[in-house]
Amino acid sequence: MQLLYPAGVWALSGLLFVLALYILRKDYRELNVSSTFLWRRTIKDQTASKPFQKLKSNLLMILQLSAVLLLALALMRPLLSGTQAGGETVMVFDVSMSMQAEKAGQSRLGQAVSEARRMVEGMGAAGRLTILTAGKKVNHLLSRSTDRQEALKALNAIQAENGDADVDGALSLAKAMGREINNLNIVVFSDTYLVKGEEDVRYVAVGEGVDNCAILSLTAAKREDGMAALARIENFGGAASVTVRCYADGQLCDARTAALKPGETQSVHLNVPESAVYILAEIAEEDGLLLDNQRHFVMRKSGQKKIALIGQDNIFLEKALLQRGDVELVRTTKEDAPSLTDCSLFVYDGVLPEQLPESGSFLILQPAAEILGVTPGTKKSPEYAVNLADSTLAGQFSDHVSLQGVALKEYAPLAGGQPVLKSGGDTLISAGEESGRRFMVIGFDLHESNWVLKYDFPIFMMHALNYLMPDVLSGARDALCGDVLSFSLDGRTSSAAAITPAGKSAALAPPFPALPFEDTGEAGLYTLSQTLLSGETVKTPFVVNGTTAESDVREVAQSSGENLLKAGVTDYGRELTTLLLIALLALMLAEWWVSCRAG
Amino acid sequence: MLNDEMLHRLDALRLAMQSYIRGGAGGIRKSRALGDSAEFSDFREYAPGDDLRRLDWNAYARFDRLFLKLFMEEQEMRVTIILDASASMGYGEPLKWAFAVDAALMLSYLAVSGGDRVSLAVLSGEKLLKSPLYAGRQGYLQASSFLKDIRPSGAVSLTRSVTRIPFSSGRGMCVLISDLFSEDGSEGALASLLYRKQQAVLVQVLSREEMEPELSGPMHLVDSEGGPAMDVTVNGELLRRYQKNLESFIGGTKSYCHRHGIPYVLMRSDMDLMHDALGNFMRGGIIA
Repeated sequence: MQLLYPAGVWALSGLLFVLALYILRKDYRELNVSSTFLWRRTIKDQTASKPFQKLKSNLLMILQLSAVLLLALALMRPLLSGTQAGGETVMVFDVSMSMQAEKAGQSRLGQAVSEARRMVEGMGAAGRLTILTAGKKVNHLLSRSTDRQEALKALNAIQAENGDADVDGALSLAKAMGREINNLNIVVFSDTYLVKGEEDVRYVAVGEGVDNCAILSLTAAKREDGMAALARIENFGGAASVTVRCYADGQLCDARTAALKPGETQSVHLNVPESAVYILAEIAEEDGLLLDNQRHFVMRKSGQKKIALIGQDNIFLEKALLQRGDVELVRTTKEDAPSLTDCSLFVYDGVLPEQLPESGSFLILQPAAEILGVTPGTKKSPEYAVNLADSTLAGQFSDHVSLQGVALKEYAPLAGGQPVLKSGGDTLISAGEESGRRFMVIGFDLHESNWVLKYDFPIFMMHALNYLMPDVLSGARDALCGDVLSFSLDGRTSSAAAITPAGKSAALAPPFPALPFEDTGEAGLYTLSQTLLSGETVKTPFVVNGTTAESDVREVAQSSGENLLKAGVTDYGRELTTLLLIALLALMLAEWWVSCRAG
Repeated sequence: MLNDEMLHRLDALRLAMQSYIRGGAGGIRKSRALGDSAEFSDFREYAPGDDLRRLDWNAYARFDRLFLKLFMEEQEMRVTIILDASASMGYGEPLKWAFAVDAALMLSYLAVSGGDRVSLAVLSGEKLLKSPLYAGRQGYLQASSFLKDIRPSGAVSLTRSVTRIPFSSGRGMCVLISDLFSEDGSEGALASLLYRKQQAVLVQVLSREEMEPELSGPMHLVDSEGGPAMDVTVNGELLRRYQKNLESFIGGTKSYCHRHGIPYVLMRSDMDLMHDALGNFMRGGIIA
């Protein structure tokens, strides 16, 4: 046996305390009686059976001393260890959404933590423990610690996430440790991850299969007669009847009942007010996994964006720009352009401003000199066909754009920025970002090319507009819990922050470019708040939903590898603290009984 | 002090004790000394010199032998009531002393109204207070007056004190009223009375607090007679032992009295005098 906390021996000083209580004089109450004649005879008689009387009168003291002894021993945490007290273990916890499935009031993760706690309490004093959690990312909660209390604290801090789990990544990390540490035991706690072919890993399956219904998707659209939402429900279990409630901006607006056969998927139509922005659909009945009983959706508002045109008229360009329904063209001069602070895009065709506006994106056609880091070269006639450049940025413009048969009269090769369109080795169109503002430079005259007559010109221009005036939430479409979101901030933004459903705010910018937003663990309605240079604050709602990939919780994998734990850890010892505390409680009850009987 | 109603009830009763009495004036107490009174007692054969007037001719006719009639000589009895007035008698609710005085007066009244004489002896510390002999109904009032202002105090050794009580020659009846909390016990005192030809009667008076003490916890007991004080932790077990000792104490006294033909009565100071106490006296054969 060993003592996990030998310092607990200090509790033995309680013995002195108990003895002192009995040594100290009792507080006697004086009483006049007729005669002590009979009392003296009684005490004499009591003393005659001395041994037993002494024992009885001291029984309370004996019980109290025993209680102090038990307490001291319990504090020292004696351990009846198994074969050996050492060993090193890595515990990997699957913290995916399915681990939150509950049966009989305990979640799968709770069960895993309880099992792990039992292992930790039985580990020898020299045993080391590492704890990893496998969610969207692998987290290191504890590293090679021998401190039991620290280990138990780390176990208590494990929380399930609302996404899926990267158990492979965690296992790789654990195995990497195993290459440096001898006799490393790897224990995986999961509900669905099957360790196939993992010969040196013990897999502890937790949980039992439960029935579950999930809302797989929620969309809404305006119709002629108002607005409607559509929720897709799937039944991962036996036949069920579910009630789907719909809330529009926090108010209940509709409820429908659906009867689902085992494994069936159904669409439920819900009526929502036309003015609704945030829509929540939820299944009223509780089942094995509650997180997928809700789905969030937000209606996107389309606001008008202004595009300022400076320079020569270009009907082809104007028409191409106007094909986006949310655009309003404003013609102005290069002197007046900087004063148009509400424009999202400035198009300079054949002219160069002395001073660029402070906000917005730029489309520069035929620049005569260097601008935004792009320098036009000497004009020349094209010798090669026009093609999209081979770059990631150019890939954004490639959808349905062939550029076949596009001919130019002449062009100025561009240096700087990232190439989008090329002719041979020369860059015809360059794009990029300067101080957080996007730009595109076209090094030729559109009037002197046949491209404007091709079908792919307006398509290309649409891509260009999406690049220059991106939907701020383009990086947050269909976001799931755990995703890292990137926002395309408005060119006029001076600062931006994302606000979680709980109200926590995360600053995204400055600095620019904006930071990606990682705090997406909670499903619900978020807000992107942008403060523009004009001082105006634009709040854009977006939603993050839980993954439905974890919704089928009908089955749990089998445990394996019980015999694979290395020597020294197979037989986890038994800490006697609980037994000692139970004995202490029984002793205290006995002391109370003796005290009552004596009184 | 007994009220008129009590005295009226007592008029129907008398002391039931028989006593060897010799000497003294004529009373209505039966005497075992054979005398010339009219009450027949027994026969014996005629011996020359006997009084021929006592010959029973009926017996001669029947048995053809001469027998003499014997008669009881009727004489008054002296009743001595000894009261323990030690400090322990001034304890209890109601006081044991008050009860003892009432019991003594009751017995005194019965004695004098039965034609006997009564005297009182009060043992208080080292002092012995002896009253003169009282007779007649007036004697009751005198006895009451004698006891009126006495208060219990000091410690009493029963044997030593009782031995000091002077008795006139001849037999009499002696009632000892005490709680018997004396270091030398009561046996010596009773034996002294028997030796001096007294018909002893023992009345032990205890209080409810002594018979059923309601104490608990650590106590420092102070003896009212100046005896040893003691520290005790009173608990259920100790109280049980106390009861056992009390029963043993009473039982021992009862047993001694029984062996020596001494009527014994146990009284509790909170008893009703004319019901419970009187009943006890009657059951004890002291009053009839």
